[in-house]
Amino acid sequence: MYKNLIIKNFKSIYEDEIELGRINVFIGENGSGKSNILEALVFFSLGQKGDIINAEALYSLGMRATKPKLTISAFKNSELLEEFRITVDNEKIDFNPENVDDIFSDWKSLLEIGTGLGESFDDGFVITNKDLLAVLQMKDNEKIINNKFLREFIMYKQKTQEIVNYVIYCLNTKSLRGIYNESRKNPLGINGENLDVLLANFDKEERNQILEYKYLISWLEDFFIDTDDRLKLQGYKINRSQSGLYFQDKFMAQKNNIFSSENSNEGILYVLFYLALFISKRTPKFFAIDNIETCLNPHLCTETMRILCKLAKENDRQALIMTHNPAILDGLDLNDDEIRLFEVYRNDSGHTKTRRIKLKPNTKSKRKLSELWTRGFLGAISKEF
Amino acid sequence: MQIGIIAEGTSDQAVITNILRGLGLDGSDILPLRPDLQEDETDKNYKISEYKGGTWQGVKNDCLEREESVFEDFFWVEDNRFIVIQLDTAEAGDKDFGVIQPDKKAENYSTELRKNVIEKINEWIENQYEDELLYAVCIEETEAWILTIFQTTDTSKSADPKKKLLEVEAPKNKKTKQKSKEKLSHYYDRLTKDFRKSKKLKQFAKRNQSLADFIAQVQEKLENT
Repeated sequence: MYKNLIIKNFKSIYEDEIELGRINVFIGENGSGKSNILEALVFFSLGQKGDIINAEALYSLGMRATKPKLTISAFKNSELLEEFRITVDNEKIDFNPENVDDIFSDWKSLLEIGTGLGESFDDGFVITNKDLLAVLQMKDNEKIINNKFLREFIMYKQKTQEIVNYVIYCLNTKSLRGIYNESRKNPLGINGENLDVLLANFDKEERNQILEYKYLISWLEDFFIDTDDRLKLQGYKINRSQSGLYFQDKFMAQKNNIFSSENSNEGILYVLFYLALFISKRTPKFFAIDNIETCLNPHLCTETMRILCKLAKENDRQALIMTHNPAILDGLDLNDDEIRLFEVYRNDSGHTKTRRIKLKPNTKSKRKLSELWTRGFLGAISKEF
Repeated sequence: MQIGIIAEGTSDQAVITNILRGLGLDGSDILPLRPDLQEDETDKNYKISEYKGGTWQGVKNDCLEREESVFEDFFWVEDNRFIVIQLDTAEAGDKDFGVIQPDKKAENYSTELRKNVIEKINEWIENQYEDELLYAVCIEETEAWILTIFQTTDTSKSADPKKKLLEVEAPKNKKTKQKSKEKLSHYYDRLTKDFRKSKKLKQFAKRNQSLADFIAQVQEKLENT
C-alpha cells in the first residue's frame, strides 16, 4: 500500500501532503480540488512507467488534460513555475512540459529514486522517462544484474509496480450500457466499458463472491452474458449497445424476465461495475473513483461503500474515492485506521489543502457522519450560502 | 485548529469570521454552525416550527439542547476545536433571558454586561465545555463593532449603532454602500474586510471594549493551544 503522497505546484495544489490509508474518501465543495489530487497520481503513474506523457496519454487514464501552463500552479502574485513535483512514498518525480502553451506538448519527467531503497544507495539518482523506456526494453539480464544502477532500478520497480496501472474511473451510464466505447483501457474502461467481457471471464470464485451481494438490487434474480449474442436477434435490445450483459428480474414471469444492460435499471450497472472492480483478479490494485455515488440511492450508497471497504481488505485493493453524497460516509468505519476520510478545501490564498477527519472513540452524539457533514460540522461545504 | 460559530444571524457570522482571520486563522479553519444549516426549506416554512423564535432564543435552544445539538456533534471530531458563541446584548434584558443589567453609566459597563451574558450562557449549558468556548458578546449590537472601522471615537456609547452604520456611515462612500440584491451576509463580509488585517484590528479594538474583550480571549486561547 502507498502511504504518503506529496503534491507540489500542481493545478490548485500549491503544496499538500496526504497520509493515505487503504480506502481514502475525499469530500469538499465543488472546485475545492478533489479531482486534482486524483489526477496528480495519473502523472506519477505515467512517470513511473516511463511512458510518453502527453494530453492523449493523460486523458486515457481519466485526467482532464489542460494546457501545461494551467497544469502547473499559477497563483496570483506568485512567480511562474516551469515544473511541478509529485512524491509517493519518498519517490519524487518532477514534470516539465516541452511547451507550456501547447496542450499537445509532451512532458518530460525527471525521476529521483533514492531514500529508503537500500543501504547501497544513499545519494539517490535521477532518471528521465526516456531512460526508463530504454531500461524497460533491455533484454540482457546479465547486464542488469551487474549494474548497480539497474539493480536499484529493479528494486524500485518492484516497489512501485501497482501504481503503473493506476487509473481514475468516472462512470457514465451509456458506457456501462455498452453504447459508448470511448475508453480502450483493459480490463475495464475508465467510463464503465467492458464490464460484460470482464464478468464473462470471471472464474468460479470471483462469480461466487460477486453473487454474495445480489441482495443489493432487490429485483435481481441473476445476471449472465449472452456470449452467442442470440438475445439481440430475439428482440431483447435494439442493439445500440455492444454489451452482452443481461439481467433476470425475480418478480417477472420466467419467460418474460430478461433485461439487457441497454435497457435495464441504471443502479445495477454501477453497483456491478464497482463489485467487479474490487473482486476481479485482473483489475488494478491501486485506482481512483470519481463521483462514486452517481445513480445510487442514498441507502445503496451506504451499503455499497461498506461492502467495498470489506472487499478492499479481502482482495488487497487501495482506492482514492471522491464523493458529493453524504450517504457514502455512513458506509465508512472511521475507527478503522485503514479507512480514511479527508476534507478537501481551499484556504484564503486559494490553495487546495486536505485535512483528515478523525472522530474521537467515545461520544454521546447520536448523529450519523452524513448528518455531521450536511450540518456543517465536518466542513467540506460552501460557506457562501 | 478549527473554530465553529454559533451566531444570531449569518451577517454576525461574517463579522466574527473576519475578526478571527485578523487574529491569524484561515477562513478554512472557521465553520459556521448556526443559523442556517439546521433547517431545510420545509422547516423554514412550517408554521408551527419549533425553530421559530428570536435570535437569542435560537442560540439559547442550541445551548439547552446540547446533547441533541451542536456541542456533542461538533466536538466529536478529533481536532483542536472551539466554538464561538455570539450574542449581542440588545435582547439580553428580556424576561425570557433575565441577564442582570449593570448601570449603563458605570465605567466598566461593557465588561460587566459581557460577564453577565457569559454567566447566562454557562448557566444554559450547565458550565460544560467552558474551556472550548469563546464568547463574542457585542454590547448593544454587532454593528457597534463594525462602526469601529468608520469612526475613531468609542462606539460602545453609540445609541443606535445599526442605524448609524447603515444609514449614516456606510452610505457615505460608494465602496461601502450595500449593492442592490447583495445578501446581507456578503455585505457585512465586505464591510468588515479590514478586520482581517491584524494591525488594523488592534486599532479598531481600542474603540470598543467588548470587541477588545473578545479579541483578548481568542488571543489567549490561541497562545495556549
